[in-house]
Amino acid sequence: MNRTTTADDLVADYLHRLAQASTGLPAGERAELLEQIREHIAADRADAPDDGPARVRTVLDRLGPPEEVAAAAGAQAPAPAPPGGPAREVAAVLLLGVGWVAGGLGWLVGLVLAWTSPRWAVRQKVLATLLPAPVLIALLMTHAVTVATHAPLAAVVLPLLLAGLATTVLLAVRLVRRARA
Amino acid sequence: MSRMEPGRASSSLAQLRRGVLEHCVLALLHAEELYSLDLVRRLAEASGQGVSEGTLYPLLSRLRKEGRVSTSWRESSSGPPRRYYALTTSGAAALAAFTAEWRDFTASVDALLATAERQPGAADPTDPTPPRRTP
Repeated sequence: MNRTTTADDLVADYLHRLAQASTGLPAGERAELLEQIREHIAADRADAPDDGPARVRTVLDRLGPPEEVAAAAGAQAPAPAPPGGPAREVAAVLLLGVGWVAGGLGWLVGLVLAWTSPRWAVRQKVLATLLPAPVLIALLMTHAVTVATHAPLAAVVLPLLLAGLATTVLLAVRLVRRARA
Repeated sequence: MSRMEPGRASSSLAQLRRGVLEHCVLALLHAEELYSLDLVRRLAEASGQGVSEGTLYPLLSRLRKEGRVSTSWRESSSGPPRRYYALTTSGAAALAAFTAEWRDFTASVDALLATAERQPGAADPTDPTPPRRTP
């Protein structure tokens, strides 16, 4: 650099470095951060009677290195999905959807897996817990209907059970999709 | 017995500072609305050495998105318009809840630390009186 560095040069350079360091942020957050920092510098310079390079350097020093500022923005941004596939959630869906038929242990393990999932919010955890419900309800209704009407078992069981299974599969697919997102 | 090295203690304090920072924002805004530069400066001073002012802006953005603070623009006599931050009702509620929990928390930690200090042979390198030994 041949000419003397002016206060404006320093600011431009700082903002340029910040723009470079923050490319990983979502566009909206990046624009907001750049605007906030630009505003901070402008407000400080407007207040100071002496607006030379030395003073501006102090302002920028107090702001911290642009890379550190960008990193702080990354830390406040919504956390990315945990690494690895949604294996835990798939296992939970299988155990809660089908596994409970085999006995209480499968159901219990499924519950533990579902509620310790880092990928599901409470809503999905509740839905996963309710996975056995459609088939259970179908079975109860079958029982009630056959007792009350003496209708042939197969005529009642099949449609109800199919409806229950279909609901379970639908729920399971949505839950796994959610875990992948 | 393992002794906690000073670096470890200061790093856990740094984590603690970061953790309470957002409630310090709410506390600063409790009395008055502040414009961004002023707020960030006070916050950096309050949270001690080594906090860069620029790193506090993302925190302000998050609090705004969460509805804990609101922002508005006002004209300034000396330069460009300024963004002012104010506490929202939800922010005030969060501050009140945190204040109560913080008091409980610090009281129990203080009590624990005091018990540790009273015990003979406590590992306190700053304690001027050496542990008494029976001959």
